[in-house]
Amino acid sequence: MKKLFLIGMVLIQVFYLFSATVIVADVKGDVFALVKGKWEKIEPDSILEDGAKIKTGKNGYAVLLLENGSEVKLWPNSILDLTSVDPKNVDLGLSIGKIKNKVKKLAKGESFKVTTPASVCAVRGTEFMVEVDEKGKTKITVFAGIVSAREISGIGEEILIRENEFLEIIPGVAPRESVPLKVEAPAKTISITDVKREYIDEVRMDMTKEEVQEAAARELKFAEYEEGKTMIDYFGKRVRIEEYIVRPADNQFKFVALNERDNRFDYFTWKATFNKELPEDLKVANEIAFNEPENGWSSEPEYWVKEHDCAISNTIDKVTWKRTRADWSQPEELTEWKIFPGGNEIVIVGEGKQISSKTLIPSSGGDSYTIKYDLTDGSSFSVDVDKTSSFAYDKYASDLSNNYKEEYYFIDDEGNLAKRSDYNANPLACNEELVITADNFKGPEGKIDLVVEPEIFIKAGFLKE
Amino acid sequence: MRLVINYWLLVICLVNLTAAEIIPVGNISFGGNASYFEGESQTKGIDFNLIYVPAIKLSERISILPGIYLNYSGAKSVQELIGGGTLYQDEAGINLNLRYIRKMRENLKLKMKTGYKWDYLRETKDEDWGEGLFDYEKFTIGVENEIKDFSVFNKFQVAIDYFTVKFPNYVTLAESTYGKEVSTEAAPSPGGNILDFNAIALYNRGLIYFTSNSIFNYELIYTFKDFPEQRIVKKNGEFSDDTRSDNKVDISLLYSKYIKDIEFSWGIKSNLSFNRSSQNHYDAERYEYTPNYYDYNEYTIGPVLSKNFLSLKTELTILFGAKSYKERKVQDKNGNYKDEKVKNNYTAISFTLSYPVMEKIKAKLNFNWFNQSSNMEYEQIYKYNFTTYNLLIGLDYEF
Repeated sequence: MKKLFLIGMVLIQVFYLFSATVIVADVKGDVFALVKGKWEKIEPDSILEDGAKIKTGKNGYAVLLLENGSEVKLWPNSILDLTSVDPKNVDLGLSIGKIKNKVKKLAKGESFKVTTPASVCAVRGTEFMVEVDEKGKTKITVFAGIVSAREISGIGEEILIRENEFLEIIPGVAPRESVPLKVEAPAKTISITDVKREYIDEVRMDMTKEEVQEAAARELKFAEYEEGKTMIDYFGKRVRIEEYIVRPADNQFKFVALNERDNRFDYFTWKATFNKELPEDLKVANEIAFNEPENGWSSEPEYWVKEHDCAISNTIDKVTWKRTRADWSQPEELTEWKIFPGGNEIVIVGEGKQISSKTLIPSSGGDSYTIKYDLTDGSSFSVDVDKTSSFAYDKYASDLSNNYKEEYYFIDDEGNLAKRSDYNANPLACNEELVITADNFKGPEGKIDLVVEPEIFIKAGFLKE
Repeated sequence: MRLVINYWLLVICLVNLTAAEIIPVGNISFGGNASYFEGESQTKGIDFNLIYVPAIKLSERISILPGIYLNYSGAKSVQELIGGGTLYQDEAGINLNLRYIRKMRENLKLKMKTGYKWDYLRETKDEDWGEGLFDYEKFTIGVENEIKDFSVFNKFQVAIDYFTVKFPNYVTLAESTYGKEVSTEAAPSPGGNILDFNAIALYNRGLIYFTSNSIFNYELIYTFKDFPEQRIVKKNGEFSDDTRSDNKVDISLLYSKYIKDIEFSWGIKSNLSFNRSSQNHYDAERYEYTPNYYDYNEYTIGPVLSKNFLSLKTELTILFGAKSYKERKVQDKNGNYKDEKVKNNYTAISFTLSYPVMEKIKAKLNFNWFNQSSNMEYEQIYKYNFTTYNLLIGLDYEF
């Protein structure tokens, strides 16, 4: 194939014996030549003569073979004047774009010159590239041999550009010294080591991107921890916590706390019904309603809670209670307390059994005492309170049937019990874990186990004093 | 596993079909890692990383880079230590990716990439692999252009990635089966898989050699994240139908100079990050609403130094940083909100020693130290004022 091509070239050369010509050896994409004032698309093996002009489109490439054996490659979006293709005196004019010239060693008296809007460069046996942008700025890169270049209008000195150097020339500006190439040599001269280095760079850059994307995923996990949605409970179990506020009615809000562990799901709901419609910002109402002076309000506050309706459950066993207030000037009363072991209902308070009196029976220790509740139907029950632990752990056992017991653990985010002294100094600086057990509970581990902040149970008015 | 096998069979077929040249590159590192928080030992374990890329050179212009990245860590990194009480047993990841690189011109490369990553995090001892709450899967597809000698840049890159992250085991408790049973009236509706997100990331990197020994490097990243299931919380604590979206800009700058005579390099590194999120926050225990809860600005700056003592290489990076939240309020020790906004100041120090023990094998020691101080006083569930560090000793084989 190569031989045929060479024979063809010789024949063509014979045909054009008396005129200097250029053969278009290869064409890719759109390549045009200016013929009789019109741009016409050219094909491989076209012949161009002195004075011809050649243009490549945005996807066009062309390779020109000169009679003296030199080769000129045109890159896309280039315009090249074949001012002179006389083998002894080649003169090319590049007005825009990029060409790469592989010039055969010239005999004495022969020349090869490329003119751009900014520069004139001349060579002897070399390989170099010329690039011109829209403003005429010209970059000459030399891969082999030496190229001399000067500014088109003669400003400044002529500069010699040596192998693996480049020079940029701006029209009307004296050229400065050429500088070494900082990029790799052309692809065909890249060694296996260079290729490997390129691949290593690729992998490193990819790792950097991966790290950025992984950090975006990890950031979400940290936000969950920062918002307290995951912690360790007193028993060393990881517990997920979610807390929400919803508004069932204009004068109500409902606090929902959900806990999930490996083998269980517990929840607590507290619905507060107010005396009037609540504002959008709940804090406004709650700062009034939950800051009642010790001796009660002297006049009706703007917001007060008529009823607290609470439930705590492990989805199988449940305990509910209600505290109600007939009027703002009346004290809050426990009006309902029910236990639902495995779905059965046991009424402790309510349905005709209201608390008629409450008696505190101190023990000798001081940190433990008993509260006796008398009910309107003549029955009664007692709650034993034990706060004797040196760590912040309280126990409330009721003399109801089935050993009903509430235990309160005051813990940090890693499940460690706070010291009693620390808890006493600042009770709100701990998380509170409430564990309710009874012999007849049917749910997982026979208990209800819930972690929240202590303030919630205080506000919701649980049995704890 | 089947996917991994199929992936490599595809790669082998590709190589056989094209009789292409394979140039493997990669790295294996192995070591022991210990982490400490406030002076107390947190986690100890082994660390293993493998990067294997049998690069396939199909022609002078076209290369295909199939890659597999494996990692296992038995101890917390410094990032994992921030905040204290995060649960951690060990973490493992596998990342398969395929890159196509085409040299369009001598100075222009077009690259396309797709990849899939599985990350597994066991938070507790009794948790099985694949059951971690924060396990995630990431799918990426992207295009990149790299130009050499573009304007003043020796290297200039622009890229766009689309990636999706899914946490298959994470569903909000409110949207779980039990959670829905809890409230028959006015149930909370925050959305289910609220951590899942889709993102578009635009990258621009530039490298300038002022001289052969001094370089300037910058990186701009814009990331848009869309959380299709995460509903926005309203001022009254309930959720709207709108979903969360975040816009983040990261800017990294590095100037570095190498002094050949004394084999020493010094540089200055700076990072700036700005995150803007449409998500708000509602503290249900204190009825406190915070708009744009995740909005923050973060800045770091500090020196980057390295020095060779014969074959021993040392590197030291010190970064001084500050992270300021735009809207997030400071809480006192009891959790009560104040008017001041949260600001965390920190110092991060990283020190690395490496010494070649055999050809291509280096012994490595890496020490990371992190100290944070904050105006946030409420540390019941998360620590804002702390010192933490970790130490990694191991071997590194690069091929």
